[in-house]
Amino acid sequence: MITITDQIHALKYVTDTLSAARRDQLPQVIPSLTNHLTLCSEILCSKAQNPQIAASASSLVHKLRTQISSLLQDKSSQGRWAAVVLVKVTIESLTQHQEGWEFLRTSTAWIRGMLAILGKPDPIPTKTMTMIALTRIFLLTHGQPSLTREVTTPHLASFITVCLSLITTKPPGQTGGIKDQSDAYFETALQCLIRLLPNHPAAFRPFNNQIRLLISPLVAPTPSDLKTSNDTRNIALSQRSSTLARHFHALLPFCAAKNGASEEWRKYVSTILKQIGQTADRAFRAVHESDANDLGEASEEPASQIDDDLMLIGWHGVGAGCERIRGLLLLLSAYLTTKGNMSYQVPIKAIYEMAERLLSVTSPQSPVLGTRTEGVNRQFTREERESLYMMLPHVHTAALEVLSTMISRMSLLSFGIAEDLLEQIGWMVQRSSPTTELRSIVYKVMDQIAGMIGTSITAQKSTSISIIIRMACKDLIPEAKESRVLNSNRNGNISKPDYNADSFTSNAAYSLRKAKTLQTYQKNALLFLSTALLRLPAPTLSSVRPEIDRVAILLQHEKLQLTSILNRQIGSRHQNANLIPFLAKSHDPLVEALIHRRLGAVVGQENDPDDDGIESEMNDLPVEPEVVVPSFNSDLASSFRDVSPPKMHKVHKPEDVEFVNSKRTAESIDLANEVTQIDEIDHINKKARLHQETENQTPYAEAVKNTTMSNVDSKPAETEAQPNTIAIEIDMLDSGEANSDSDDSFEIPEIVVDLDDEDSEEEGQG
Amino acid sequence: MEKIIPTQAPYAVCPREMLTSSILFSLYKPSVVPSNLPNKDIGIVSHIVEPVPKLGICYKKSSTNPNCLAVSATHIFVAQSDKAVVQVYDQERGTKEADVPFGERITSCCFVGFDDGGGVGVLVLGLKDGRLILWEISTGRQISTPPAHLEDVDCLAVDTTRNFLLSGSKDHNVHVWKLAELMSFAPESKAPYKTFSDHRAAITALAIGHSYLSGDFVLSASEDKTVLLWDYRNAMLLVTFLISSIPRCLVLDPADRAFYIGFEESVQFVDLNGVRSNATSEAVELGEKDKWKDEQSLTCFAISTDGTQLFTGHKNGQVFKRATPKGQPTLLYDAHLPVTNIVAPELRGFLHEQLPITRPSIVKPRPDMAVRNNGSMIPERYELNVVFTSMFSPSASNEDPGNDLFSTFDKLLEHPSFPGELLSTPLTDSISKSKTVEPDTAAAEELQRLRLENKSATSYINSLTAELERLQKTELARKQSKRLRRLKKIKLFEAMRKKAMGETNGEMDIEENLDVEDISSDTEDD
Repeated sequence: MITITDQIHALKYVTDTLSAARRDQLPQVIPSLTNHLTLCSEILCSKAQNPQIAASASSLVHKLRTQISSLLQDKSSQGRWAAVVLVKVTIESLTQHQEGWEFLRTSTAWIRGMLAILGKPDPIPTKTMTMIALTRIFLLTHGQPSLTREVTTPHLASFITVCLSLITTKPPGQTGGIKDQSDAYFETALQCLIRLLPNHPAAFRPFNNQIRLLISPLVAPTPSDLKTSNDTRNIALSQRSSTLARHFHALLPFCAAKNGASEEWRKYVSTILKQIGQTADRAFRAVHESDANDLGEASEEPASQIDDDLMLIGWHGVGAGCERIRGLLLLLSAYLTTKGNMSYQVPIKAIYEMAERLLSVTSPQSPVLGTRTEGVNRQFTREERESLYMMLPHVHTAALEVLSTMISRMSLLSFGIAEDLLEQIGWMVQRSSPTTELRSIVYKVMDQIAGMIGTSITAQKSTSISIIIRMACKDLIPEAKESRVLNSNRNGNISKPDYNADSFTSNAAYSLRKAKTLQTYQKNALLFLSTALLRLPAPTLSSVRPEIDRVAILLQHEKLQLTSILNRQIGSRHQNANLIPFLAKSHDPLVEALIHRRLGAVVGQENDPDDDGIESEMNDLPVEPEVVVPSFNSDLASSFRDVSPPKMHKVHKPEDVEFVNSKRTAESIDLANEVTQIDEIDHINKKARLHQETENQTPYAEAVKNTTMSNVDSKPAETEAQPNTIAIEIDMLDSGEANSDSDDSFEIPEIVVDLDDEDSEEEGQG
Repeated sequence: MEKIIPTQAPYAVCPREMLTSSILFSLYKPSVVPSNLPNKDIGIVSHIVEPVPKLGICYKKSSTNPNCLAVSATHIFVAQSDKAVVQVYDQERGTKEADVPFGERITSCCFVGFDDGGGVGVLVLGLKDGRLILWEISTGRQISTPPAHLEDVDCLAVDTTRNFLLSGSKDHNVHVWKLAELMSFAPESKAPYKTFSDHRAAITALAIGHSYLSGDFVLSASEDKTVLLWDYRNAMLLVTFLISSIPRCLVLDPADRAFYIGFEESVQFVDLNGVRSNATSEAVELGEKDKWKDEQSLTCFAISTDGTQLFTGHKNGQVFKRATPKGQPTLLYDAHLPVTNIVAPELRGFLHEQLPITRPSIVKPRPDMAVRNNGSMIPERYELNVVFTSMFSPSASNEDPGNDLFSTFDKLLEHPSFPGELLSTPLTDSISKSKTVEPDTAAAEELQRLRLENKSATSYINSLTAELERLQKTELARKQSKRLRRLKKIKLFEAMRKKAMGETNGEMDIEENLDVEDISSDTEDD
């Protein structure tokens, strides 16, 4: 904390500098002054205890306030700019203290001064900052009725007026040839108004229509429409402005008269849904999809009908139609993302069926199913159809965006539609070649669905999920064909002449690929994979398991590795294809908890050393127990495992592990034998040593680990094969891969082989 | 304006700044209540335990049987003991919101909703006739199963993933249901996914594990004096605990480390860490180990979120708090009426508690929800009735930058001053522009005057410059003629010197040269 005396010094410095500085020097001194001023928060709201100090402090505070007030009225624009900055800083430092609220009450003169600035021809930064500062003051008074009444209410209407006039396009000529600056203020003004509206719907009511007129061209713009003489503004093309406009649009129902907000909101949602339906009738007429008769002349481009409740301009052409649908869908999504203290009635059925309809229209060209001719409406031109297919991914993205929002709002109640939606998305993905944007949202929705109903999904219904898991894996490890370099190295000859010299320098290509940061769609893909891996029952995952494991290893993604280990199928052939050695290198505390689990007993309970001894610790490694017992993921699990300690010892006896004869190995064997006898405290150290051995990647450490982790006496054959534990893993993987349908899975053994080579080298050295 | 519904502070009485733990218990009201009882109207009590024990909201006029109290983040649901009605209370306002009648007597109820769902979910009711009813509280949809149980459904439990619903009945069976199948709109018959029938008497209590992986388990207590630990996803028995008397209730430690069995006269602590079994399904004899006696007959209990406190409810109306596993009881409250249910809701008042994104509005079961339109899967007027309590940005697609859009501006609004890049935006460029934008009239006049002045001054300067030029020229001419004269003099002297020295050949030349130079200097001067 800064002492009061220091604060006085700082404040004195600020006021002195302010009075000494020339107007044109203000821009250069203000940044440092604001830093000083933020330190003075306590004396700014007169918190000083000592009367003598308080007197000097209050005179300084008074001086500062006078200076700010006079700067607000200043003739130079620099002065006014400085005043706005100082007002914001003062307000912010005041809000840190309870007493500061009183200060706001006296700030009405400042508010008037700032409103005046907005009316003056000040530079863009000044006005932008003024809007922000005013909005901040108005927001701060929210929740305090008397302050709101005194400070906000009298000035809000004029603030809205001036904001709207700033962003209204002035027709050329009226402004005297001066460049229209309304675009520059658009984002800030909208941001401010969006934040103020929910708190003061009544104040916005008179402006309802004006706002609607202003933002409706931006809500669902159709930039590819060349026929309509678009007088839309440049900002219409900016995604940000459109997003803001949509959110603002979604807030407008609040302005409805008493208790009408709920109905108004519903009315608009229904209108949007109706509008989407009508637009889709027209834009999708080239495919047999709807039964509507009035689809327009085949010779003409599809175009909008006249009646339009949303005050949108008409559109011409398939491209524009699809853009309109997309815009409307995003608007619907915005309607679902707003917040408000009123009861919303979300028409689930209507939204779901609309989205289902849009998702059902797919291109007949699909990489999975080949070319189909179903659903083509020959009445219309081929060109129209093709441009429709081109635009479809955009429409699908927006439709999934709406569904995603709806699912979040429905929470558990989306169980009813989740399975159906899952199949719908799987169907859609199979029948189209999704863009990255579309894949991104597909992963997101699938993540939501898998997180909700993944645990109880049945094998028959998991086909869609498997398709999307494969897609996600491909997205995360792009261009699987590059592996041919690895492939040829392994076979010892280059299978196919390649004229691109760069492709021989496989290292360069690989590092280039690695250096890339993950794109949004890839991040979503990873999230989806982790969720799917964690939630889906292991049997449903068996077909895609090698691909996911490959992603987990190549990306060195700890969470994915962890989830892969946690959810393994009992008794499956992949049981030993374990990622634990990869994960053991990580320093993540979660990994530590997984491999060296120690769960405390209930407080107050004395621990029985025999019960909580080392065997249970060893057994706790989350590898599957015997087939008859399902795997438990808690400490409890060890209790039910059918592994008796004596059998454990057998495995570790020297004769069984003769294959290694180095000194280090002998040590390790001792360790393994000791491990069963040591007490609680010693155990931790031993454990660390064991862990170290594992980290050294010696084959023996691997062996120890594998014997402890797998269920030894249930599979004696494997135990004998200890020398080649890793080789077994490869075999398992190989056999798994033979069954898998994917073309890419052959990479896995190679990776493991690499590791094996490394190990054998080490072994040779040892 | 709509009526403002407070979206925060689920317990109006709790100070929001402090971490608060509370319990909720419901009472059974016999048909004849002694008139001298204090607070005989009270039916449900919310009691704060931490930081300072004190009475919270009391809800009146309710009477419940065991397992008939369900709590969501926003509401309390109580199935009444004397009639087929579920009462719904709003926890924030502390008032009754609805009486919802059902056709059959309700023997158990349980609320199913996601933690982040803010109380949007399904109320599951177990009926006397062996059916289950699922009521989607914010859509009004009601799903009814066929009578899968032969007798009363006495206890319900749902797992952490909210995917599996377990129902235990007097008919000795526990059914495992898939919630997604139950709630699906597909016209499939609703049947249990698995049935666990290893008990040989009525099921009295269920306690489900807290893991969302496949290793999760459930404990079921039965009147056959056993507690069975089994895997509900496969309906497979894992461990049998043999106990000495009939268990009434069960509770599992929040971290699955131990469980507690409630008997009529005692509570038994069973440490799951300590349980060792070499073969599956082998019985563990618990005997009288870790049992602590209770003087009062115990009816129900609950465990605190941190697992350190056990709250026990008793037939005489007393509620005790005791430290786990075997601490001494401290009296928390005496209701004088039998306590039938205790629930310990989630803690409130974490520093950065995330607001749920929705808050449900209660929609009573609507008959039209059951009627399906021709071919259509979802009923015609299927609507979600909620309050959107927080705004969220759903945009994960690459194009839509909505997420950044709002948070960036929020940071701007809450910045202690203005961020550096905004402060350093140059003002000068726009200032010069703005000066031409709307010129002051006074300034314009001044400017005009100055311009005129300027003009005259310029002409004056021009004349002066011309004058100066002229003067400079004359000066130059004067200087040059002076120099010339000097040169002539020098030449003359030179000629005279040469003459004197006897070099007589060039006198005529000198005379001529002088003449020439004179002429050239004259022309230069002009």
